[in-house]
Amino acid sequence: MPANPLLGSLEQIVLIALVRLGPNAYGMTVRREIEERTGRDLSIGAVYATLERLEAKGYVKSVIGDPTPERGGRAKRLFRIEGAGERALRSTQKAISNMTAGLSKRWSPT
Amino acid sequence: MEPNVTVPRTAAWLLGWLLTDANRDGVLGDLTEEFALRARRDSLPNASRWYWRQVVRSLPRFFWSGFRRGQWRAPLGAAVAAQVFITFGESLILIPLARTFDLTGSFRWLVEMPIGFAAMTLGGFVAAWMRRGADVALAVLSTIMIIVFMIVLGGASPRWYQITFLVLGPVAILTGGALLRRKQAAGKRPSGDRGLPNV
Repeated sequence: MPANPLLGSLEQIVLIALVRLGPNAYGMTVRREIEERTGRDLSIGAVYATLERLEAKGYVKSVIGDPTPERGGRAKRLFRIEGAGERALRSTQKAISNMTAGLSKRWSPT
Repeated sequence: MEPNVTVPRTAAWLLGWLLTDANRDGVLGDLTEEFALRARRDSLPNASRWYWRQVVRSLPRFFWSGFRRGQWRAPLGAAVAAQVFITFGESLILIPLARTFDLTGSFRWLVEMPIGFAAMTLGGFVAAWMRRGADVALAVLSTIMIIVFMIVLGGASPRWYQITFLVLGPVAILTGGALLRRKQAAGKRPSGDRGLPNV
């Protein structure tokens, strides 16, 4: 019986980026992390739309940081993954892993 | 040393206008930071192109997100109020004029046109004063109304008159909004520059 609803692919990627970036996760770093690791050139709008959707689901929490000069005096909106987000991510990864188990002869992800 | 480069102002204005208060600093700051990084590593023209691409690709998402949150209700309400103000203002001038002078033929349209544009500029000013973004909502509303009038009452006025209003009417409204912002910016300047940053 599924404990958590399954996440969409972009939701998973964004949550993993938050895990990787830790306390330095905000729009720009999330966008760049995804671009560098997956080659997907996401728009900042796509990143924020996903982060806000995850926040509405209670998987992510955001706080406003301090303004910095390199940002033209604008504050960062920092994001961090919540316990529910970690559980949803694990549950989705497990579901994918279960679905692909034993397929090596017919199909391989790499 | 930090390069003295400025983000594309029009693109930043366009995006800033669509963003919610909760997102504005975060999104524009993120783009500014990456823009400066790209301008340093690559070139200013390429960084500007990247910035524009980001804005164009992000606009539909932020627009839809704002629409779903009801962010457009207040600007639209202000736009409707400003439209009533325009119609009332125009009538206040045109009715006594029509009673005093014999406004017939092309002369009528040539008299009505500057009054209409002046009312629209003032309407844009008032709309922007009432609510941020209401001038743009009014320009969109006005365009729709002019198109509907052209379809429904096509023969009521000359085609050149209708097309001139269709093209220049929204421009007059946006000019009114821009005039208000310029006035507000001039009022704020002595206590600190709140314009777009040099990074």
